[in-house]
Amino acid sequence: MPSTRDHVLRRKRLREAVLGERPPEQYDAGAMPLHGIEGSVIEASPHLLVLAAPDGTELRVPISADASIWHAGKAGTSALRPGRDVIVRPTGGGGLIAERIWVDITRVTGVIAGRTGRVLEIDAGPHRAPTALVIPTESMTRIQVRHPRLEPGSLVDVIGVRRAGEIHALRPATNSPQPASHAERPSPDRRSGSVPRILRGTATWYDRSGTGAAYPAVDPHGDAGGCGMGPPSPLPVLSIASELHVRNDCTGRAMRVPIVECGCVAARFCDRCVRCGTSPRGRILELTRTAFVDLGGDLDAGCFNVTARVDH
Amino acid sequence: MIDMLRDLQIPFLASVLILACAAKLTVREHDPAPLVALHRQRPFVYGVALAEGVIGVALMVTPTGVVRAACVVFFASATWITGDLARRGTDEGCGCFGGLSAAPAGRRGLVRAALLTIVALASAGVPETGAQVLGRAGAGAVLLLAAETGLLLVLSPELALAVERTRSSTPCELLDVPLAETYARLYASVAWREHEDHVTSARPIETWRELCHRYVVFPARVEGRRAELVFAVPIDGRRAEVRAGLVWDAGCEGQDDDSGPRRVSSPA
Repeated sequence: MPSTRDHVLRRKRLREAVLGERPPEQYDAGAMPLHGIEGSVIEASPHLLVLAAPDGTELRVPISADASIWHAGKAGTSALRPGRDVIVRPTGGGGLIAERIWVDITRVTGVIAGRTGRVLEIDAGPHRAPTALVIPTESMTRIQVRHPRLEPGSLVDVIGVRRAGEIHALRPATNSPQPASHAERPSPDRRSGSVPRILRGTATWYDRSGTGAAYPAVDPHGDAGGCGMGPPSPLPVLSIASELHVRNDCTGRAMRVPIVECGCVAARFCDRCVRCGTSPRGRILELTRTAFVDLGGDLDAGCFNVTARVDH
Repeated sequence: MIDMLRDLQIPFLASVLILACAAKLTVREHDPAPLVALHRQRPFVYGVALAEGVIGVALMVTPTGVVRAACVVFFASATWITGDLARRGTDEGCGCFGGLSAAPAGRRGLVRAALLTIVALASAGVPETGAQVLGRAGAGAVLLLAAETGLLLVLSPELALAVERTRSSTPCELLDVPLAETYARLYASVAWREHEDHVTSARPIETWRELCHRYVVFPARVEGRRAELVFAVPIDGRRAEVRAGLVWDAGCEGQDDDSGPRRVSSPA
């Protein structure tokens, strides 16, 4: 199985062999992305965090004096215990000094498949394993504000924390109740018979390492990688390893993001992000948590508004 | 009645020829690639359009036998070309009405061309010019002409294409097209016929879709070197043609400086 980068480059090479190289499009490239770091804590002090990266290398990350640490809410350096999973967002100065640290944060997005007391069985789509989600008593009321019907068949999207091998829900990740009004469909241009190549909407994140995005309109045929589930999306059809130029409209940071998964679950949500104004349409991307952080997103906030451009 | 019907064919054929001439000059196809067949090249198309226009006008103003014979030969040639395209199952249109005839040539187009040939043959001996026939035409003649035009439209694939173009509101980027449809379009294409001898496996090694194209990759051997043949198959199949490209295998021994992506065919 080739790496995502190799996959992207191979398909780009094949595409250019048949259609020719296209000059890069002129558009606002946006501010440089950050370089988020993920790994598990080896040791931590008030000024230094030592991490084991997913590839096994050891990383030493200085912690800035005004760094903010999240562990089921605002926490101190005592939350940085060995073995815990962290993701670090560095300061924007170009270095690796930690500005935000999320400890054992996770997100569960999907359809409730079953319920036993306070434990929900969540179907997160064909590409993701089913998840058991525990809703603690203190979080129940908060979650039911956005998800009043915690019954099989209902959609759920919560920010949670890993505790002793379980996932505990903390609060809803969505900002508008579900169901809400349908995402705005772009009106196709009847004269040219095409859809806009610039997509504006909501980007959320999901619990996967590496840089990439799950996209709702992945072709389900051949080796394109689509799952063929969910409602038909009014987004242009692409494949795994297609690239999008994604810009966080709230921070201005932008980068190229490869599609690494079918986002058929995202296509079922009709909510809007209200982080910096209301997003013009619903979820168009689920970014991996690193990509979300690289674009300046706050994992505990859950979403930001994006402009995604399909280059080819 | 039979005589009137036969006489009316002269202005009818003249109008078909003048229409075809106007369509060829005004509704262009995409710019053809240099290596495309002669009948698709622009100077040839303009030449045919000019011939059609001249024959059409001549039918209206002169009863000369040469013009009638040219008309018969012209429609017979069109029948032969359309029949050949339909027999080969190609995705090329006949180009009879310029860019409007972009749909693959089929049985309907063949029947239309054959009927026009028969009509031209049957009316070759009419002693009057088209203008004289129209000058003495009554209401019955007008009705007959209208019915004949209706039949011609029913047999015209261009009409279905024009209706589809105006009614279809699903852009190609959103269309869900099964693989079988893509393969059918690929195997009927000129690009496939040009390169199928290089393909070493009937099964593609990779297929994926981006926007309005589906890419199909086959292993290939070209000049003794391993390569991959990539075909870009348009999703909606209305106007654009299948394109092919060649990529040398990165691990191929003996690879020289001209390795790397090479476009081997890019028809318009």
